[in-house]
Amino acid sequence: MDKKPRIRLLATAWIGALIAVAPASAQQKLTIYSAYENSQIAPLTKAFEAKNPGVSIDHFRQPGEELLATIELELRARSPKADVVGVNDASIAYLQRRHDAFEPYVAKDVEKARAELRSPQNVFTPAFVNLYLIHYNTRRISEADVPKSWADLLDPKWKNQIAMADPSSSQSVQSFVWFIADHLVKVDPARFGWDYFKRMGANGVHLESSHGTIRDLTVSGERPIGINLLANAQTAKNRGEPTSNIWPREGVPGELSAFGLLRAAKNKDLGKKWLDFIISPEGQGLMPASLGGAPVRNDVAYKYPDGSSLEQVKIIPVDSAFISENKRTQARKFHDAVGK
Amino acid sequence: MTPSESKGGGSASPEAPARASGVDLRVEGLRKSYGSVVAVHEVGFEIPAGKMISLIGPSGCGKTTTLRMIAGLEQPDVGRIVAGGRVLVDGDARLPPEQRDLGMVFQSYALWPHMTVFDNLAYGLKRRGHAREAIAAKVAEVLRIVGMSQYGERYPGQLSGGQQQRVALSRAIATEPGILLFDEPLSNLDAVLREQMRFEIRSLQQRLGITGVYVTHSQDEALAMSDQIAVMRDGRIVQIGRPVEIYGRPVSRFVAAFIGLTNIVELHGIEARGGGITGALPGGGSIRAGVGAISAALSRGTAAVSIRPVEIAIRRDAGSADADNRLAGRVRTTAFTGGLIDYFVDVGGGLELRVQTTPPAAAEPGEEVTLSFAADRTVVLED
Amino acid sequence: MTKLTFFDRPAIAWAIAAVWLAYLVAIPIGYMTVDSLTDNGLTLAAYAEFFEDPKLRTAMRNSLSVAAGVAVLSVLVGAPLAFGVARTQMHGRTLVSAAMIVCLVSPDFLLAMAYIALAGPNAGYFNQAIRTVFDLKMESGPLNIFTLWGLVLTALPHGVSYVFLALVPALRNVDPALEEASRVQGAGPLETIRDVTLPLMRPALLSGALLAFSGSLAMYGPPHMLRLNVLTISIRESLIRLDFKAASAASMILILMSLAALVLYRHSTRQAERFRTVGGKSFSERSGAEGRVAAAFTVLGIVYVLAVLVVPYGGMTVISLMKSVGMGFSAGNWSFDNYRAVFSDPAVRNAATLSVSLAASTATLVTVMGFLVAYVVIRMKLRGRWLLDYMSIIPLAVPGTALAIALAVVYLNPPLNALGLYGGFGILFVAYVTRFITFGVRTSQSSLIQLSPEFEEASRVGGAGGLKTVALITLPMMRQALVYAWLLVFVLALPELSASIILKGIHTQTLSTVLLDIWNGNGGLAQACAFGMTMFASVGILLLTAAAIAKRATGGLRIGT
Repeated sequence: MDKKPRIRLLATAWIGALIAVAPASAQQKLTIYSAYENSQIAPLTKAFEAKNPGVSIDHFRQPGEELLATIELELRARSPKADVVGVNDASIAYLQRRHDAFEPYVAKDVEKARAELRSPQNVFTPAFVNLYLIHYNTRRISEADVPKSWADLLDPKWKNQIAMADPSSSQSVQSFVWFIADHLVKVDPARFGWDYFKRMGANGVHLESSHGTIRDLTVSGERPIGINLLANAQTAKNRGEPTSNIWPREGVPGELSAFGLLRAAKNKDLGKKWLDFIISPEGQGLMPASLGGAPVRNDVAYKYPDGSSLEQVKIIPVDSAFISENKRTQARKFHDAVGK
Repeated sequence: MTPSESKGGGSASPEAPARASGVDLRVEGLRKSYGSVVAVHEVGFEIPAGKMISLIGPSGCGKTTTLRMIAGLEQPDVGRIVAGGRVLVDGDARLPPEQRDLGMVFQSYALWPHMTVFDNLAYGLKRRGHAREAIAAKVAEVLRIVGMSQYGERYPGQLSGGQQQRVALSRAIATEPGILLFDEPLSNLDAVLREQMRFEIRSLQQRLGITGVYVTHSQDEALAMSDQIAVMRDGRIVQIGRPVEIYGRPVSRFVAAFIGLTNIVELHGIEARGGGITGALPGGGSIRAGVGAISAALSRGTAAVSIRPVEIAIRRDAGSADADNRLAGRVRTTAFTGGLIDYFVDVGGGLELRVQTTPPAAAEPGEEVTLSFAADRTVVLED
Repeated sequence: MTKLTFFDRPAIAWAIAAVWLAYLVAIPIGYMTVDSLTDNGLTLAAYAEFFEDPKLRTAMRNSLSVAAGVAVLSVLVGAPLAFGVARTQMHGRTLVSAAMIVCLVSPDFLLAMAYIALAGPNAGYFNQAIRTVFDLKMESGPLNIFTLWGLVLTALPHGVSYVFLALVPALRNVDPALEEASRVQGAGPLETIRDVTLPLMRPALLSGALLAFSGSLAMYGPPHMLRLNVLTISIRESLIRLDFKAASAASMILILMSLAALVLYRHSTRQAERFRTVGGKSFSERSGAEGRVAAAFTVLGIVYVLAVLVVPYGGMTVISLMKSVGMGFSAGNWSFDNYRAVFSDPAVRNAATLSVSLAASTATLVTVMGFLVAYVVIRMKLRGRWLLDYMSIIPLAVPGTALAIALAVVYLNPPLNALGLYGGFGILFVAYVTRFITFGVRTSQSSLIQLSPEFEEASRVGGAGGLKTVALITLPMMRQALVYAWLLVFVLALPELSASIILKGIHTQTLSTVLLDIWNGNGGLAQACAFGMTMFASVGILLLTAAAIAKRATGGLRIGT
C-alpha cells in the first residue's frame, strides 16, 4: 500500500514532462517556416535576436514542396502556426493564389531593392537572388575537364555522375526545369526542351529530394557534379569542402527568394520587424554568409563564391507566374522525360 | 543362432512377403562417456535372430544410450556391433543410421506431423527406391497388420495415442528391417492400452520373426515380452538371462528389488546346511536358503536373501513342521488389491515381511500368524 | 463483500476492449476505405487513376519485388544462420543471436545511410577499394546501392532477424526423434533436413518471411534515401501534392498487399497439429554438429555480423568524425564537431524529448491495453472474441505510412477534426499506439496461454475478487512478459519513421524525422552519421536491458497460429 504515493508522484512527473514538451512561450516568439537549412539561416536569426532582446526565433525547415504541403494543410485545418514564410517567389505566389495566405506589407527600405525584384502588391519582401550553377568536386574532376555549359552535362562521360533535385520535393528546381524546357528551348531547340531531361535521364541523373543532399553527394564525390543552387555552393565553400562552381555559358536561371507575412500570423509586429531586417543593409550584408545568395540591393557589395562579380554572370530571371501556375504539369512532364 | 541372409544395401524386394526374417545381433564391449560421466560401460550381449531382448533399468542406467548406439544415433567410444554378419560399428568405423537396415519405435512415436499416415509409412520405402505401386501395396499390408487400414489419409495429429502407437509400429516394420528397436514405446499410453499393446507387439515380433531390442523401465513389459532380459545399472549389465531366471534367481539386491516385489532379509552367522546355508535373523531365529551365491555368503559370514512375497505361506496355526523356514509374527496391516491380498507381518527384531496370497484372507490385522517358505525359493544375493 | 469490477463483468471488459480497438484500427482503416471509394457517390476512380499512372504501377511493382526479394533472401540467409546457432557447435552463437536482435531494433535508414557511403557507385569506399584492388578501369561501380537490389540489401537484416528469431526456438523445440526416425528409416542427414526438418519449420519460416515481407513493404526511410520509387514514397508524394484521394488509394493497395500476405500465412499454417513438433518426453539438449560443418557456419556467422553491423556502423562512425567529408581520410580532418553540432542543436533536443515521451507513453498504453485485450480474448469465454483477436493483428499488416494517411484523413475531416489532434502530439500518439498494439496483445496472449487458469481459480476460491486476483496473481506472474512488451514497444517506437514522417508537425519532430531532415541537407552527411551513431548507441543500450528480460520472458515476435 505504501507504493501508492510513489505511483502518484511518478504520474505527476510524467504529465509534467509531457507538458514540458509543449512549446514554452515565456518570451516573445517569432515562428519562421522556410526551405533553408538551420545552419544557413542561423546568422540571420542570431543577428535579429541580438537586435531585439527578449525575442526568440523558432525556425522550421522542410524541402520547399514539402513545406508548401505543410503550410497548406495547416491553412486547411485553420491552424497556421507560422508567422513568416521564407520560400521562392513562385511558391509565395502559389500560396497567395490558392489561399490568399499573405498580408501585404511594405517593408522599410524596400524601395532600395532592385525594382524587378519587388512584389507589385507587396505580398513578399525580397531576400536574395538564388542562382542555379554547376557545382563540382575539385578532387574528382580536374579543372580542364569541367563541363562549361548546361549542354556539356549531356556528355556520356558524365554518365551516373550528376545529381539534381526532384520537383516532387523541391520547389526551386522548378526554376531550372522552366529554364531548360521553356526558356533555353527557344534559344537552342536542338539541345534544350524536354528532350534535355530525357537525355539526362538516359545519362543516369540522380534525383534527390533536396539541394542540401545534392551538395553533400557532390562533396563526398558520390555525385561529383550537382545542378545546385548558389546558396549550397556557398555553404560548401564556407565549410572548406573541396568544391567549386561553374557559371554555364548559356546563362543561369535566377529565382528570387523572399519572405512573406502570413495573414494568420500571431506575432505580426515581430514578423514585420523581420521583414524590415531582411531588406536592411545589415540583413542584406549577411546574405552571402548565411542563406548564400546574392543581395537584392545594389548598394551592398557582393562577390560570388568563385570570386566572380555580379556583372560577369548572365542571369535569366525565371517566370515565377508561369511556374506557380504550372508546377504540377511541369513536374509530371519532367518525370515522364527523365523516366524515373 | 544361424544368421539369415545378409541384408546389405537394404534392398529387400518389395514382392517379399511381410514375413521379414530377423538377423542375429552381437554387441561387444560398448563404452560411451559424456565428458567425465561414463554412460555405458563395457556392455555386451548377443541375441539370436528372431528373438527379443529387453534392456531394463532405472533412468540413467544407460539402456537408451545402448539402444541409440545400436541405431547409430550415438557413437560408442569403444566397442563393436555386428548384425547379421554385417559390422555396424567397430571402433571408429561405423555405418550411419540410414545404412543399418533397422526399424525403430520411439517413445514419442516421432510420427512426422506434416505427413499423412501413408506418407509416414512410405517414407522408408521410397528411400529404398521401390516403385510407387509396390510402396502402396506394402503400406496397405502393414496397415492391415496393425489394424489401421482406414487411416492412411489421416494426419498423425488426428489420431489417438493408441492409433499413433500402431502407426509408429507399422512404420518401423514397413521396410522389413532385420532388427526392430523399441525405445520405451508404451510409456505414453494409459494402463489398459499399454497392457493390450504389449501383447500385440510381442505377437507381431514373433510372427514376423524380427529380432527385437526393447528398452523399458517396466518390469511387467520386460517379463512379458522378452526372450532375454538384460538388467542394467550405472551403465553396466548387472544380470542377463531368461525372464524366469531373472525373476527366480536375482543375483543382487538391485535386481531382486527391481524385477518384481521381494523381501530382502539380512542374515549373519552363516553356516553351510545341506547344499545351502543357514543364517541367523537379527531378532532371533534363523533362515535356510538353498540357492544363489552360497559360497560368497559362506566366506563372508553374512548374507542378504530374497524371498518373494508370493512364495510365503501365511497361516493362523503353527503350520506344517517340515517347512524349510518357519517364522512367527503378527499381522500389522493388510491391503486388498483385487487379485491379491497383501499382509505386512512383523516377525520381531524390527523385521517386517510382505506376504501375498490370493483371496480369501488368511489373517486379519493384529492376529498372530506363522509364515513358511521353501529354502530353494530363498535366494542368496551376491551383495 | 467484494465489489464487482471490470474483471468480473466480461461484457463490459469486452466492450471496452472492442471500442478501444475499433477507435484505433477500425475507424481509420474504415474511413480511409470509404474515402478512397467515394467522390460524390461510390466510385473506383481513385483506383483507376492509380492503375493508369505508370509511375504508380512501377512503384507497386517495385514494392512487391523488393518485399518478395527480402522475404526470400531473409529465409535463405536467416535459415542457415538459425540452423547453425540452434543445431551446431559453431563459434559465436551468442554473438550472432545478439546481432540479430540489434539489427531488428536498429532503424533501417541507418543501414541505408551507411551503405550509401560504402556502396555508392562513384565514391563508395567498397567500390573504391574494389576498383583499386582489381585495378578496374571503370569510374564507377561495380556495386550500386541506388538500385532495387540495394534496397533489398538494406532491408535484409531486419528480415533475416525475423526469420532467425522465429526459427531458432522452433528448431530447438523439435523433438529430435522426428529427425532420428528419418535417419533410421534410411534418409541421410541432408535428405532429413529437406524432408522432415524444413517442412516442420514451415510455420516459423513463413512467419519470419511474412514479417520480412510486410516490413519491407512498409519501409520508408531506405527508399527515401536511396531515391527509389516504391509505394510508401508515392504515398508521401501524393500527400505533398495534397492529393488525398491518390494517397488513400495507394495506401489501400499497400494495405491489401500486406493483408494478402497475412491471410496467405494464416491459411498455409492453419492446421497447427501438422506442425506440432514437441514430443512426449522432454529431451536433453542436442550436442549438434561439430568439426567442418560447425566451422562453415562459424564463417557464415562472422561474415554476416561483419556485413550488417561492424562494417556499416564502423563506416558511419568514421564518417561522423570527419570535418569535411570531401577531404576523406586525410590527416587533420578529424574532430568531434559533428557530435557537438548534433548535441547542441535545440531541434535535436526537442525531438529527443518528444520521441522518448512518445515511446514511453506508447509502450505504457500498449502494454496495459494489450494485457486487457489479451485477457478478454484468452480468459473470458465470450462470443466475438475472435473479432478482437483479428482487430489486434491487423495493424501488423498496415504499413506506417498508410496508417498515417488514414489518420490524417480522419483527423483533418469532420467530425474528428474537432479533437484538434492533427499536427500535434496526439495524432502521433494515436499512430504509434495503433502501430504497436499487436506486440502488446501478442506478448500478453502468449504469456497468458502459458499461465494455467488454475492459479487464478485458486485465488478466487481463496476469496479474492476478480480485480484483486488480476492484481495479486495474474499481473505479478506475467511481470516479465509485460516488462518485455514495454521495452520492445519502447525500442521499436523510439526511431519510428514511416508514420511520423507524415504526421509530424512543426513542434512535433521525432528523432527520425530530424535525422532525415539532417540527411536532407539540414546539416549534411557527417552530422547525419553522428546523429545516427548516437541513436544506434542509445537503442543498443536499451536493447541490452530488453534482451536480458527477453531471455526469460516469452518471445512476442512470432505471430501465433
